[in-house]
Amino acid sequence: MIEVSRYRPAFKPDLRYAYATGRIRALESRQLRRQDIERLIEVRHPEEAVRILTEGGYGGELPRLEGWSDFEYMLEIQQRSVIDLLSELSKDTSISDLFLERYDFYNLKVLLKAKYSHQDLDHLLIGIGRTSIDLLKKAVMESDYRGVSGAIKDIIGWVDTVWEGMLDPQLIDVAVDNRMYDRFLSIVVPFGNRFLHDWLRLEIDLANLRTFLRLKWLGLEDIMDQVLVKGGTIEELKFLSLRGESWERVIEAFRKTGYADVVAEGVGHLLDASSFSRLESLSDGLIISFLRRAKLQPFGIEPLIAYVLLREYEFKAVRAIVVGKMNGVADDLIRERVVNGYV
Amino acid sequence: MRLTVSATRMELLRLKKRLILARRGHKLLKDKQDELMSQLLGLVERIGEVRREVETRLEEVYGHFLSARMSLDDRTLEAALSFPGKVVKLKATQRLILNIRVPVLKPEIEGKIYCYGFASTPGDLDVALKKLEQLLEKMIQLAEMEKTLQLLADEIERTRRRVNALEYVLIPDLQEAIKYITMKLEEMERESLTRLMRVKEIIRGE
Repeated sequence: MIEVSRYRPAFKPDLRYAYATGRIRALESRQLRRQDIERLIEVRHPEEAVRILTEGGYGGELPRLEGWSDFEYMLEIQQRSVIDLLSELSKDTSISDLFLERYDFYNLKVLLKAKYSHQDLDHLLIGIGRTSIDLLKKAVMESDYRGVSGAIKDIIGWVDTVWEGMLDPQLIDVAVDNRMYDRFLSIVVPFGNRFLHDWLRLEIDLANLRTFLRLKWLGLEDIMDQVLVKGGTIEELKFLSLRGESWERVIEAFRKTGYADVVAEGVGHLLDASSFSRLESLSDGLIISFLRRAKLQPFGIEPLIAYVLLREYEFKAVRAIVVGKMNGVADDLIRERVVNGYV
Repeated sequence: MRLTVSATRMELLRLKKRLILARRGHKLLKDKQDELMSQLLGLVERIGEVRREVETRLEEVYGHFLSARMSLDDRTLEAALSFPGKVVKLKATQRLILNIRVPVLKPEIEGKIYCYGFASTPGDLDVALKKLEQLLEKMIQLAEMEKTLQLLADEIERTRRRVNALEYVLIPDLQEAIKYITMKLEEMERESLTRLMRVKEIIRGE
């Protein structure tokens, strides 16, 4: 079990990353701070929030940003620039590949859904991944696997085999998500970086925890063994043994773990308000606290990884604020959601 | 007088029969209109209740959906929902209300509403879909009731036009034509009587 509050880095300084770490430290100072987030929350109109972000460098060289409706485009530009930075600064291609492959797996889901639902979903594809969209399309549509990874080939083959018997779209997402985490573990474990491995295990634990609580709330505990991701610190058996148990028993089962607050507060809010938002912002908050521990590392890949991931959480917070503003969500609700997670 | 009639006894009899028929038709249509109105008012009240419930619950659904959208970009959210697993087929039959064919919608629902993976989607999407699923039958019921209401309102409009046409045009016209023929016939009778009296006087004078 990863105890985030007591997590102490035992990293060896990696001088190959001296320049990268210096650059990251400089970039970190430009990240949104608590007062920036507060300022964004307090604006009256989403246009003002987008204007503040653009002034703060979010728009970059963007020529066509005209208003709040373009803000997703703005975030995508930022996302691309962060990934480009990682590719530029990382001395280990397998690690930058890990971040790029997330988009391959996302694109794979979209293409498999397009194939089996006979729709054109090209507008949903994201052109950032490690594998080009054309190669992925050939692999999915024509079973031409040249240029795609073994993991992608396995997923396509597996879905093709079982599809006729099950005809369940959820199967596609579950198969891709599970194999995506397998693939990440297969990159991270041989790489031998404890911080990276612990981050991934924390991600898997929290993903499983959220999935477990969602299935329990929906009354779909019978499919739990198919959807849980392997490789976390919490044994799959622990979740399976809690099927059918009361909410109090579930909270009790996690009381002595590092996830006690996430579970207790998240479940409390779920039962009071029928919403998973608190659970999710608390679990994001836990990962963010973990990533901030990378600041204790003088030189190494850790600050770079932490910077990339923290920027992604920053984009998530910005999205929550702008979407909330666009839809007239009260400032307090936005604040509660963002403060629990990002700040 | 709008009706062009010849002032004969045959015509008078024909018009009187038409008047009786028109009055009977008017009464029947008036009764139908009253019944339709009472059905409509009852339905409006029931629709009001169902619509309020549907709108309140839809607001909750949108709230949870918005919460999900706040933590996921638009493309990923659309991708998650792009291949729905639940198929809703509507079987439409008809029933009669005062000879008006109104729809009866019977949903045939199969499949799972959760068509996405849990590891990369927010939980509030589940909440929104669960609440939407629970609401679906109510929404279909509301659609059926609102279509029935529309058909009843159309029929009331048509019936009112017929009632008004009978009440304000045909019946007064027939009454006027009957009155005209009656007066004309009486006039002719008086003429004939006067003629006969004059002939009688002439004969007596000889």
